[in-house]
Formats: sequence, structure tokens, C-alpha cells
Amino acid sequence: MQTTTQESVSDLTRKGACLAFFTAYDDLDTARMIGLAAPDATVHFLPLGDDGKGAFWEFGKAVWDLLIDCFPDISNSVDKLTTDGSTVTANVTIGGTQVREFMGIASKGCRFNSDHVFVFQFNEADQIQHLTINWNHAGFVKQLGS
Amino acid sequence: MFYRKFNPSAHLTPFVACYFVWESQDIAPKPLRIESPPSGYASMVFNFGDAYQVENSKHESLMTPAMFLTGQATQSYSLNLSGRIGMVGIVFKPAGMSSLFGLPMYEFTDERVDLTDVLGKSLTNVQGPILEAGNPVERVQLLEQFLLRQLAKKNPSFDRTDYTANLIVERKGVVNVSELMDDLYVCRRQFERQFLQKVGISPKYYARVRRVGHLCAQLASQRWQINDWHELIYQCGYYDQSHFIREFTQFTGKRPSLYVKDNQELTRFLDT
Repeated sequence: MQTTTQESVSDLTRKGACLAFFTAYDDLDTARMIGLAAPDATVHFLPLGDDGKGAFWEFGKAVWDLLIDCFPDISNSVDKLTTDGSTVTANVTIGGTQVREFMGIASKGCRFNSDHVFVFQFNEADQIQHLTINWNHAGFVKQLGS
Repeated sequence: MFYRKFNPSAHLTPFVACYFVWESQDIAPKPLRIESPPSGYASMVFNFGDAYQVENSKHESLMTPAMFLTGQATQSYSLNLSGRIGMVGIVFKPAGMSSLFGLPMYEFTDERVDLTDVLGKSLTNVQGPILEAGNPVERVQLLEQFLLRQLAKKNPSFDRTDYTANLIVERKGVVNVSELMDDLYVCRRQFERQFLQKVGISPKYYARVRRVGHLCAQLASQRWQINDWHELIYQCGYYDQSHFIREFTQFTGKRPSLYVKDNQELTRFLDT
């Protein structure tokens, strides 16, 4: 019984950390986003394959900085959060208007609006240890007019 | 078997949809499985019968605590009951539980959380008397008193989130949330975060849940004998058949044809 209580309290902390991540993302504050992760945390942007894997603090920050640069009005809406052990899954809608070339996609001034699934894995210290992000990349590219 | 709903007093109607009592005097001869689509409501349940299990997208088999709260269901779930059924509960309007108790509802989406872990000592005056109460009306009166005490203590305001969430319920999920935000002159970011806090899911997602919940209620009210699917799909705000099938399957875990077939079979079984 005690174990159940401890687990649920831990879950609460982790969902709060996920919300803090998306609030920082909405504030275009990548320093705050990566501050929620462990120094050795990793990230995988799934649709990009092996090229989408890297360190959370360096590679992750670079991708989010690039996204913010190319889509300055980028915003997110958290649809729901669910926990399973040390994992929190966030279903998020992300949208933004392209103003610069993004990963080989030329800017046509189009707006995208796309469902994303973020799967956060937390460590014992309630820091993000790994993050996997998935979205319909073909649909994303199509919305940008390519 | 006895299942009955009770209306709350006027002071509580902005926050509470109803109370319910579900009891059986006899022990069920065989286990009962009740499948439910997401309803769009959060609830607090006090079980004074035998413990039962819940199956949902997260839990294959979760034994429910004696007193628990549950937030928004985002998919269908099943109750597996056996033995003696006895429970009384409060069904809250979508933002009502958060307004009355100040709880962050995103923590409870698709969960059944022990009420003592959440509310602690404030429940000591409720559980014992509910167990000892002689009849359903007494039990509901105890719940009403519990909420009225909380209302006096918290003095919650009925804010824009309560208003919008109740409006989505009233319109059966057939709303354009972006237009609604414009009409209310609210900041999108602030509004969405408050909605997530008080309802547990985003406003657009909530409208989708409510829409499918209403459609399932329509199917049940017609005992799963639908003469004009196109009319029903249109009335429930779906663009076309493929949009409807995609949404329905996502939230119930079954294609509409299988869902209807299973329920028709259950109805025939219960009627015999």
C-alpha cells in the first residue's frame, strides 16, 4: 500500500516536469527546456532515423533552437499526459508558420499543425533521462508545401 | 439491481452533474463486465460492496480502492464486478472537481487514485457514515453535506474554464474551440493551460471525448438499432464517415460495427 502511494507521488512530479517542458517550449526558452533533463540525457526525433538521435543538452537544444528560428510563432497544446512507471507520454499538438528553410524544406510561408507524441523517461531524481518524439513527418512536409 | 441518479442542490449545480447509487442486495451468480465509453465527467466513488476491477488503456486489471477519484477517461474502460455491488458516487462537471478541491486534474486522467492519498483527513467524516447508512438517500445526503462543507471552505468561483467546459458538454462536443476562445476574449495559452489544469485534457481533445461519449449514449438510447447512420454522424458533428470511424475507433478501441454488434449481443443476453 505504501509503495503505491510513493509511486503515485512520483508520477505527480514527473507530469509536472513535462508540463514545465512544454511551457518553456511555448516561451521559446530552450535553456529552460534542457534544464529539466539530466546532463547525460538523450533524445531521439524518431522520423529522422539515426540522424535524429543525440544528446539532449546539445543535439536536442540545437534542433529546438532551429525549429524556433524557422517557425518563430511555434506553439504547443498539451492534449493529455499519461504515466506508466517511469515513463510519461504526452500527446501534444504543435503548430507554427515557416519563415526560413528547415532541414532542407524551403520556406513557402506555410503553417503546420501536427499531432506529436513525446515519450519522456525519467531517472530516480525525476530528471528527463531520455525523450522520444514522433510525428507524421510526411504530413508535416506536405503542410509546408513541399 | 438498483441504479439511480440524484440531482445536487442549487448551490452545487455549477460544479456537480449528479450523484449516483448502484446497489444489488443479492450476490451476483456470475461476474458482470460493464464496458463504458469515455463520458467526459470526473467522479469520486465510495465502494461499500465487494471490491472490483477496472481495465483501461493503462491498466490490464486494476483493483479499485474503497474510495477513489477518477479523472477524464480518454478511452473506453471496463468494470469487472463480482459478488455484492454497492457504491455511491459524485459525478462532477468537467472542471467541477478542480474548482471545489483545487486539484490539478491532468494528474488523474485515466487513473483511479485512492481518495485518502489525495484528500487525507477531510474524508474521515464521510467514509464511516456512508458504510453505516441505512439507505441510498442517506448516503447521497452524506455526499451532499461533504460537498457543501467543501463549498463553504473553498468558496470557489465559477470561472471561464468552468463556463467553457460546461458549454462543451451542453453542445455535446460540437463546438469550434478556436472560435469559442475568440468569443471569450481569452489568451489561447493561458486558457489551454487552465483547462488542462481544471479538466485534465486540452479543450479540443475534451470536445472530441465529449462528442464520442454523446454518440455512444445515443447508440445506447436507441438500443444499438440505428436506422440512419448518416444522420447520426452528421448530428454528432463529424465531417464524414471516415472521420467518424477514425475518431470512434481511437476513443473506444473498436470499429463502430463491432461496438454495435457486441452491445446488441449483450442486450439480447440481458433480455433473455
